[in-house]
Amino acid sequence: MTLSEKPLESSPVSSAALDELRRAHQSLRGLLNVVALSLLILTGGLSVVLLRDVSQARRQLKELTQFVENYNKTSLPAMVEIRDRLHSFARSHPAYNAIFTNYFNPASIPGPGQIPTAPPPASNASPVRLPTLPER
Amino acid sequence: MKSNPLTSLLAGLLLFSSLAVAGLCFTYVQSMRTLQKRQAQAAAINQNRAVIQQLLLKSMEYGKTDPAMEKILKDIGLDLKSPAGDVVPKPGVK
Repeated sequence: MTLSEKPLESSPVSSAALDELRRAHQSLRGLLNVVALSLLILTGGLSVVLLRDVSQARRQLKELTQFVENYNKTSLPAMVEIRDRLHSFARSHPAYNAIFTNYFNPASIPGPGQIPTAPPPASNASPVRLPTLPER
Repeated sequence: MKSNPLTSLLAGLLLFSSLAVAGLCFTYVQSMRTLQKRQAQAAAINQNRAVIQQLLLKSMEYGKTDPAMEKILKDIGLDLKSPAGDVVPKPGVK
């Protein structure tokens, strides 16, 4: 026979124990409600903070994406054209070639009009080189 | 055993809220990763621009001694006679 199946109301001692148990149960339930409410407030606050941060991060991401796309559409082709023109000039003018090679590694420059997609080898890196964009 | 409606409601709300926080955490981490990649790209772009500007400044200095360079700089929209520091090529000028 289990505890719940025992006829507890049959004796005064059992009835007192049952009242005690009921009070303890009510107290425990109240405590559970308080803890649940506290956790609810905590998770609600955390949600608000995270929502705000995610919203801010998305806004920044949108701006940066636009910036990168703008660069890829307008600035990068212009810069590649400038580099190609200066590169062809540097090949015929050794004095200028010394300046040019401080900024670009001629070995890593692709053909005219081609936009570099991969970074140049590390071994060819001079102190100042035109870096390439990391992959998306 | 009798079920307390308040406890059930609180437990349900807590479960929902916890799931929402977990989802938001995941979204936040993903957003931050993407943002860091974009920030690295933006830093590389700024570095590219700085390098090109430095090269153009040096080229302008060199152009003072070599007329051939002056012609190239004019072709890309830079005029040696313009105020110093204006090394951004005019858009559309070739």
